[in-house]
Amino acid sequence: MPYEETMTSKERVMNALAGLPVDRTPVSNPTNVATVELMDMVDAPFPDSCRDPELNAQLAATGYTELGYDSIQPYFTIIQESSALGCEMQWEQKDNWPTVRMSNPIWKSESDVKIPSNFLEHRDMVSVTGAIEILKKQFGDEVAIIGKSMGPWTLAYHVFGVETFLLMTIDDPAMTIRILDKLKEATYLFANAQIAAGADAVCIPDHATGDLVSGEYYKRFLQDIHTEMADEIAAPLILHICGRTLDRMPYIAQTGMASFHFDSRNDPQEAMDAVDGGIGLVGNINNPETLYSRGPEQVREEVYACLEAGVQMIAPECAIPLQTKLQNLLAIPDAVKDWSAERL
Amino acid sequence: MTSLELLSAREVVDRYGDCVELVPMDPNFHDISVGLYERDGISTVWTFSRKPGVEERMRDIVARLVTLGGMEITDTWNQLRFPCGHLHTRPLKFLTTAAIERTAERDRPEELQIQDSKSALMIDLTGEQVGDRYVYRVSTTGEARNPALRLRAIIAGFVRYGEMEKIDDTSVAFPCGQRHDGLARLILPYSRNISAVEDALEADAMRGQMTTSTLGFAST
Repeated sequence: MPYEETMTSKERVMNALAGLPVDRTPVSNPTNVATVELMDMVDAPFPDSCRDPELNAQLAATGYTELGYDSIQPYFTIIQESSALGCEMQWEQKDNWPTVRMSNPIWKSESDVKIPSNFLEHRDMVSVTGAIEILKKQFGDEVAIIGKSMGPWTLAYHVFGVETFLLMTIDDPAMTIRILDKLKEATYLFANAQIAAGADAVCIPDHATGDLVSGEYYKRFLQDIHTEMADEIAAPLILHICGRTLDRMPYIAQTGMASFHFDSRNDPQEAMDAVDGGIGLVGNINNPETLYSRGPEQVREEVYACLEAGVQMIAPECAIPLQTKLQNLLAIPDAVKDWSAERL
Repeated sequence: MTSLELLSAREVVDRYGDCVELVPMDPNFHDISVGLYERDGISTVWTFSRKPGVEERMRDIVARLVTLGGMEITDTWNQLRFPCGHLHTRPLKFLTTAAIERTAERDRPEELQIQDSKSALMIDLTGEQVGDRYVYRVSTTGEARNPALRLRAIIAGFVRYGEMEKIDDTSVAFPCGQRHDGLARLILPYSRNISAVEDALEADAMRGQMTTSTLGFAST
């Protein structure tokens, strides 16, 4: 007998984030699901849909209306704030991600760090807050709307350049901490603006990634900031960090954030063991191999591995490749529902 | 079906099967994405775009798949198959790209000869029925330091990109055993330089992927 769904998508996601019971594990997308085919379906191609609230909302909604995920994520890139801060942008074409030209950073020292007074009015910020307002009106409490606000570590990469910023952490750790403290104000401003617009939860990507930064680095520079964010921002927070992150998961689990969006380079069971109930997990279906170039059966295997480990929300590990084929994206909710029918 | 319907993502996958090839931007029609979906040996040309003129463009692509690759249209205008019934998955990738990204002016439908990219040799492809299968023979003319070595490399290219079976050091055949001059002609330029083709395919695959490398968040 098929199991019965008794919750709305929003209830399912919000309960999972709060550690409460769910009728089935939610399928979420803390860092978005946009593809070139979905762009064509609603005539909202990149980069225009990254810069226009209406187009943004139309494309973001397809994650729920077409794919059947339990949340909508209307911030596709990781560069909206950096554009508003004045970074040089490369907006690219429909089939590629907009990026910051980090070879030409805008700031050199601590004294340069200033958040513009009209930060939230910049068109690339309004494209997100405006989209959330539209989506909230359209869907009400039917589906969870997840905002996104870049953490100070990611912003520092963009405004100082990756190499310069990482050298700074070695040469002058005290100044690095002061810079992160200044930059975190941008995170607060944008997160709070999205909550005011109707976001139910906020993803905080802060790319202290496994291939660049150690777990001890995370503890030293970011754990306190993330703990403060969990206290200060009035919505459940989902931290996102790419790469192998098992070494920092015990620290992340102490921050008070609701969930950690983790990468496929971490085994789901090992990740669950590492956080030891201190924080929920969301992930971790592999993007470059499984979703991009394999088929629904391989997707299903990874979904089942996450569910067997007890991962609280199922999602691609990061923003999906823009050429991901639809059958693989549809296979995620299909697999969750099949597993639920078998086990519940 | 006589025209492009409005279908959801789920309906397209349920009706037409899995997307096996996806061209993200059609340079000849408003940068729309075009997918080739496959079910039970039938390939369906599909796009979610509904820009004015899109159906005419889909018909044009279908016609090019017939002209360039020797596919045949089934009972439905946007569905095709190879007459042999085989899928020819790998060469279909190159066929799809050529049908969508190239224009007719760049087609060379009769050409089974090409200049080698790594030597002064001219590469010729000829075919003949041998027993129960059609065999393609590769030969070279002109001067080069080691033509036999180049021939072996080109044969390896046909095996790799055409999913062909190597018969000997100079000849190959499609796994269905049938004649596919269109596919052989399309694979010929790629067979000359595997490393360059691999680099190009890898670059295509990385485009649109958000990774620490593509975002500049990597040490290398």
